[in-house]
This record gives sequence, C-alpha cells and structure tokens, in this order.
Amino acid sequence: MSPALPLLLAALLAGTGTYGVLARRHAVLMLIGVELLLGAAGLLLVTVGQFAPDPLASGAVLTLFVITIAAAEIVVALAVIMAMFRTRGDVDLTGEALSADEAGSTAGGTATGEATPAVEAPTGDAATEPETVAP
Amino acid sequence: MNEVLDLPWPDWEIPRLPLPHLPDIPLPDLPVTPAQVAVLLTVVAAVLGLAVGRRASRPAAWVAVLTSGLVLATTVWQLYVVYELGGVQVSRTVGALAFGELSVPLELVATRLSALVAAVVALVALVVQVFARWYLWYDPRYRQFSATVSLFTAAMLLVVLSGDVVLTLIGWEVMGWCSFLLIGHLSAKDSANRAAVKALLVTRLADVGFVIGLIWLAAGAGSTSIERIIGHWTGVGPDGTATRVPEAAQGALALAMICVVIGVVGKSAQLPFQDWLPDAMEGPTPASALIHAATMVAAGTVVLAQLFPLLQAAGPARLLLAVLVSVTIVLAALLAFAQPDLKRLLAWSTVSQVGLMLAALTVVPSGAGPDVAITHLISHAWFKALLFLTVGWMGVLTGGTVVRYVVSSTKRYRSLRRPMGIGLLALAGVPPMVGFVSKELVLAQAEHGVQDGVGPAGTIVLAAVGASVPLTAAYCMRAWLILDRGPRRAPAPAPRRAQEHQMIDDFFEEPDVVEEAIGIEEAESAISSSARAAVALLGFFSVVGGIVVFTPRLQLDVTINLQLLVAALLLMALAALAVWVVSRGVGSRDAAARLPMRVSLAGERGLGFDRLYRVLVAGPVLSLAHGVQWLDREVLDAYVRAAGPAARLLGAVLERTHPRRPAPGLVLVLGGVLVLGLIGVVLT
Amino acid sequence: MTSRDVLFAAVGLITAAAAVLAVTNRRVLHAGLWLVVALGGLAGCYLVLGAELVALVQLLVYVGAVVVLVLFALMLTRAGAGEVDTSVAHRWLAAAVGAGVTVLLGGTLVAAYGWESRAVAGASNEVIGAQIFGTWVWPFELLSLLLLAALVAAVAVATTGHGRQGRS
Repeated sequence: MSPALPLLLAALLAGTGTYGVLARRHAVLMLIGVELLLGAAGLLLVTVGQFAPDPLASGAVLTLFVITIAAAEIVVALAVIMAMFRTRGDVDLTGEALSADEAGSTAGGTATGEATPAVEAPTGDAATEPETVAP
Repeated sequence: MNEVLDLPWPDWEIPRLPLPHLPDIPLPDLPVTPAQVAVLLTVVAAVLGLAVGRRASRPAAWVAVLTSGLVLATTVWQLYVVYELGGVQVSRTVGALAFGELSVPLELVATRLSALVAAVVALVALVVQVFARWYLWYDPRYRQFSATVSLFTAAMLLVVLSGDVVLTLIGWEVMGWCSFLLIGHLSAKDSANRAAVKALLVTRLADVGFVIGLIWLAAGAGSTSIERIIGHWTGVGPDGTATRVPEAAQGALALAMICVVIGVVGKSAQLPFQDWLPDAMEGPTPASALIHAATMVAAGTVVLAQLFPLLQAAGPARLLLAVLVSVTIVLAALLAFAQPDLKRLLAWSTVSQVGLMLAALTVVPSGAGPDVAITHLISHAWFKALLFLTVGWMGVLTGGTVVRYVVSSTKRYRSLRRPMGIGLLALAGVPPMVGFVSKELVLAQAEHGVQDGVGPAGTIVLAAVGASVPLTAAYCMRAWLILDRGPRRAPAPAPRRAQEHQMIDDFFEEPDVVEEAIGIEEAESAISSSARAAVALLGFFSVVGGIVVFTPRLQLDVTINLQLLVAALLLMALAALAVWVVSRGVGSRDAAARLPMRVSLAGERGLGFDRLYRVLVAGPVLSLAHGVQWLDREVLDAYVRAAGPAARLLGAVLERTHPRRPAPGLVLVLGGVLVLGLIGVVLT
Repeated sequence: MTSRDVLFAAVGLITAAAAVLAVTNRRVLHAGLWLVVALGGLAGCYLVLGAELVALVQLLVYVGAVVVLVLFALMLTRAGAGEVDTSVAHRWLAAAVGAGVTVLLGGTLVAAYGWESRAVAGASNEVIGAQIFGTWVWPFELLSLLLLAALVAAVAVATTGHGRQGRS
C-alpha cells in the first residue's frame, strides 16, 4: 500500500491537535488536543516502522512507550486540573475568569501559578515576552 | 680497628641441633588449612564474645580463652604441617577477586618464619586473654575488651600469614582501629581518650605512606600477591629465571619501599612517630602487653620480613630505615632511663627493642634471610609480655606503677620477684635468657653486615646496637634497684590491720604498715591461679626460649664473634655497676633521681615531640581545615545562598510582567515554531 | 489502490472526522466522546497497517483507561464550564497554525516517502516482545518507574487540593 495515506492522516491529526490545544480554553478539552498530537506521533512511528522495518522493532516499541508516557502524563495533568478546579472553581486557561471573579484572592493566584505551567509548558516562554501577547 | 683487637679467639658457629625425630604423624587431608582456621576462629571469637552473655562476663571469658587455646593448638599444628610440607603452605581465602588486569589472589601463605611468628602471637594472645580475665574481673566492659583482643589477634594473624598485600592492608587497618579501642578502653579518662586518638592519628598519618607504597608495588607487578610482587621487582620470573631490572624500576622500587618504610616506622613507633607508644600506656595492662609484645609494633617487622628481598634491593629505603631506627634505639633507651613511671619505662624500652628488630633487617648480608629480626621479635614477645603482665599485676597490688608506689615491691610481694627478675634480665640480655641470645644475634649480624659491606647503614646500626647494650642494662638495673630496695626499718612485729583486706589504700603509708607477710599472702590470693600460670609460662619461655635458635626452624647464617660478645657483656656489667653506684644514697634507690630536674621532666614528656607534632602536623592541618571551611562557607555557599534570593527576585519580576493569559501566547509560540519549521523545510 | 488502501482510507476518514469534531464541538462531553471515536479509529489504522499489538494496546490504554479518565474529569469539572472556546479571532489564528502544521508535516512526509506503493513488513509480535525485554529493557523499566511516580504525584496533587479546601 502507499505510505502517503497514513502519513497524511498523521499530519492531519497533528494539525487538528494543534488547533485543539490553541483554540480551547477548557483545560480538559485542551488536553484532548494533546492526546491527538500524541496519537499523530504514534501513527507516524507505526507507519515508518511498518514500511521501513528495522531489527530493533523500534517503530512498534517506541509507540508502546509513547502510549505509556501519555497515560502517565494524562493522570498527572488531570490531577492538576482537578486541584485547579477545586481551588478556582473553573478550569479556564485564558485567565479571564480569574480577572473577573477572583483577582484579589491570593489563593487563586497561587493556584494559577502552579496549575498552568504544568498543563502546558510553553506558557512560560510566552510570559517572558509580554509585549508580544495580544490581549 | 679490627687488627688492634685481633685476639686469637675463634668465631663461634651456631651449632645446628637436629629436631628430635617427630613421630611421623600422617598429615590428614583436611578441607581447611591451619592458617584459615586460625584467622577465622579468632574472628568468630570476636563476634561470639560480643554476642554471648550480655549480663555476665563469664561466657565471654570462656569464649575468649577457649578459642585462644584452640588457635594456639592450630598454629602449633601449622608449624608441624609447614615443616612436613617443606616450607610453604598456601591456602585460599575468599577466592581471587576479578579486578581486570590486576590479579588479586587473596591467599594465605604459611612459611617457615610466619608459622613460627603465628604460633608466638597465638601464645601471647592466649596468655593475655587469661590474664585479662583476672585483671578486668570487675570491669563492666570486659566483654568488649576480650572481643577486641580477639579481633586484634585475628588482624595480626592475618598480617603474619598474609600472602597478599590486600590482606596485609586489611589486617593492618583492623589492627589500627583495634588499638584505638584497646588504648581508649577506660574511656572515662580524658588521658585515655587522648592517647587513643593520638595513637590512631599518628599511625594513620604514617599509614598513608604504607598504603601508597603497597599500591605502588602491586600496581607495578600487576598483582597483589606478595610472591609475584617480589618476583616482579627483583626480576625473578615465576620459573626462577633472573632478568635484569631496569634502572627506572629500581628507582621506583626505592621510592615505593621508602613509603612502606614510613608506614612501618609509624606502626612500630620509631622516630619520628615514636611518641604515641608511651602515651598508649593509658590502656589496660593486658592491652599494652598485647600491643607491645607480639602484635602491633611487631607487625612492621613482620611485613618487612615478608617483603625482605625488596628491602634488600632498595638501598635508599634500607638506609633511611637504618638511620631512623638507630637514632630511635639510642634515644628511646635514654628516655626509658629517665621515666618516673615503670610502665612508661617499659614502653620506651619497647620502642628501643623494636628498633633493634628493624635494625636487624637493614644489615643482612646478601644471601641471608630475615631470621635474626624474627628471632628478636619472638624473644621480645616473650619477655616483654612477661614484663607487662607482671607490672600490671604489681600495679594492682601497689595501686600504681609510678616509682614512688612500686618502691621495694618485689620485697613486699615475693611472688612478683621471680617473673620480674626474669623479665628484666631477659630485657637486659643477660645470659642465658632469651634476650641475650637474640640480642647477641642482632649484634653479630650487624658486625657481619659491616664486614660484608652493606654500606654506611651497617656502621650506623652497629654503633646504635652496641650503644643500646649498656643503656638497656642501665635502665633494667635502675628498675630492679627500685623494685628490690630492702625495707628501711625492721618490720613491726604484729600487723596493725591483720583483718583488713583493703590492700591498695594501705600503700600510701607503706612500707611501715604493710608487712612482708601480708604482702605475700595477699599477692598470692590477689591473682587467679590461671593468670599466674600464664605469667609463669611466659617466664619459662623467657628463660629457655633461646633454644629455638638452635633448631632448623631458623636459618641463622651468622657466626658469633666472641670478642664482641665478651665486650658486650662487659659493657653491660659496667653499666649496671655504674647505675648501682649512682643509686646509692638515694632514698628510693632510683638512679634517675640524680638526673637534673629539667632533664627528667623533658624525658617524661618525650622531649617535647608532642609539641613538634602539633606545630608540624596538627597546626597546618587545622589551619588548612579552617581555610577550607571558610572557602566553603564564604565562597562556595555564597552562590548557593544567593540562588534563593535571586530566584525569588526573578520570580517577582516575572510575576509583575506576566499577563496571566496563557492561551494567546501559546498561539504565537506555536505559530513561531511553525514558521521556523517552514523555513527549515524550504531551506533544505 | 489495493484493498488495504481502501480500508485505510475508510478508517482514516472516520478518524480524521472524529478528531476534527473532538476539537471543535462546543459541548464538552460530546468532544470527549468524539475523542473516543478518534482514538478507536487510530487503533483501527494500526490494525490496517499490520501492527496488531500496538492497536490492542491503544485500545486498552487509551480507549479503556485514558478516555474514561478524561470523561470523568469532564463530568467532574462541568460545573464551572462557561465558554469552552477562545474568541473568534483567536480561533482563526489557531486554525491557521493548525492548517500550517498539517500542510508542512504532510508535505514534508509525503515528499520524503512518495506515493508509490510499498510492501507492509513490520516486525512480528514475537520480535517486538523479544526486543522490549532485550534491547529496550532499561527504558522499559524506567517507564515503569515513571508510571509509579506519576501515580504517586497524581495522588499527592489531588490530595493537596483537598487539604486546602478543608482548611478554607
């Protein structure tokens, strides 16, 4: 069969996942985007493994590893989300709800500080360049 | 000079007495060798001694004495086995270790000499255990003491029977730590703690050289087996073919052996490390007997005897050793004379006598073995253990070993008279005691070495050994005069306190109060019969032990120069006479009381070597430590401490600039990544 | 076009559609359910590609465990759900980035591998098993540690929230 089909599907899943991560404010829905990205990675690995086999079976083995890591990641992420939900009352990642409801509450402030970077690491990079962030 | 004194006296060859033909016991094919049993049994004794009988010391004493007896029997059996096997018995321990290119066979090797030394060590250990049972009867920590003695013996046996420098190092280290425990046994005393720490630190400092030297030797040979090390460095192949050793290797051998000699000198309390040994007298007397007689200080001689061909090949190391021990022999003998405490006198005499053993190793003519040094080691083990145990016994009776306590104690306690007399005679080297035999051998060997051309070392050693003969006689005579001073007045007809048995308090009023009769009675009852028997056994060996010289066990290729012998005896007698003359008129008959106050004080303090150690070693080390501490606290820690505030500061700055809206930023970041990827793809 | 191509195209279409729906659906629970479909479809894709073991693990771990967790989390946090999507402009931007990723990745990969048909010859399950417990055994053991750490961390994080709530 042609390797183009699975590769295109992997690209599509990656794009969809990226969109999901970027367009959602609900933390769990954002996590769904992450899952799709990981699925794309797995599909790419399996495809390459099936079409260009190697003696170490690295395509299949690494996919299994990715799945395992994804399971670990999602457990921790969901735990963080639950903690965030309990302290803030919502799972909004844009921070607008915070500024609307609980801007003065220090507890809310620390919860954001803990929860947000754990869910998505690149936010830290965004924070270092505040002038580029559009409100 | 030889021509001047050339009297027509013949030299005297030592006759070789054949051993009585032993009944031909067939060697049973045992799964273990005596060497393994001896080492293992003492270790087991140490563990068991600690484990059994937490409340009473009786089980611990049984364990210690029984195992010591078994070990003695094993080592005597080993003597026979080694003799039957023709000299060497090799036995394995835990098997060879896999260390890559370095072969570590970890074997025990019992040779003619090491089997003999092991038997002597086992004998002294047994005697010490028996004696300690009595001496430390009321000590609540007897268990720990006897276990430590067992472990100490195990370590010494390991060193003696070791065929591998790794085993030697293990035994050496364990002995160092056990000596720390034994010297500091009376840990409630500050002086005991100080002495223990001092002994540990001083020997440890010297051990640095020892470890470096042995590692150097082993690394060069590619093996830790002593046999292979000797073979490598002396250029003798495994099949006996001799090859020329290159110059560079000889230089390396000299340096490595100098390192080893430094370690040996430290453990044997020779100059400049001599000062720990007299302080180590703070330990209980049985411990002193063990440390001084057969184990720790003699370990250096044993190791050098094992490495003897290397010492012969390394001229500079031999010269260094000869100079150090020669100075020590004379200095320690002089200091021994000035000591106001009998135990310290014995300690300094040990320093001097160990110097003699080591000196005997440096003047061996080519072709001969280290037998003379081992002979002196064995004879010293007997008479020094005897002296220490007797002095300990006397200390219990008189309440102390300081001169003013022990004055005329052999007159008061008649049972002390014989062991003390034998011990001092043997120490002084009066014929026919064992000390005489071994010392004459050392002297003869030194003379022989000078004639054979062992270089300047021979002359120095001969001078020192010659000087030590009258000096030893002098301090022995001094001790005997003090101990054997007659009562000054006629004894009172009836003892005032016939019913009272508090001996020790009485002696502050001696000698008017305590009668000779009581003295005998209490001295007899004060010591247990087994301890007495042990002391008597040592006394017996000190008298007749010289016979061992005439057996084929020892191969002594020296001829006794009769002129030298007579001269030595004359010097001895003259020194004794001089001391006797000087002591007349002194109340305590202490010849050293005639010394000026400053001299005797300096002698008591070991000539201020303590201070020298402080200035030369402790001071620099401490200031270095302070420097490192300052560096650590003020320089290195500053970074670590600064990390906290810096992170907090950065956090505060970032918190202020953070928009708290991650989602929009994320789009930009990912968009940027995308653009970068695109650029990458397009460019490639 | 072989039958395998046809089969893959069908399963792939389902997967892609479910994935798009999972990230665009405004109803939270539905999005989660579409994720189930997408991941199940992915398992189907693996199956078609001939990697049975990976497909089974995908079903077992993702559909069986992860998605259940996600659904639970969604249900538990539904109370605070207001707006689930960002603003329209932001979404357009995100769509542009997503499309860019798709085009870039797809273009690169297809350019690298081409359209022509190739034989599917992946490693057999025996080989995979032998490799996991042979070559890859240390990463494998490390992963088990990672899972344990994640478990403990999740419990710790979740309980911290409890304590805070209990105090306040």
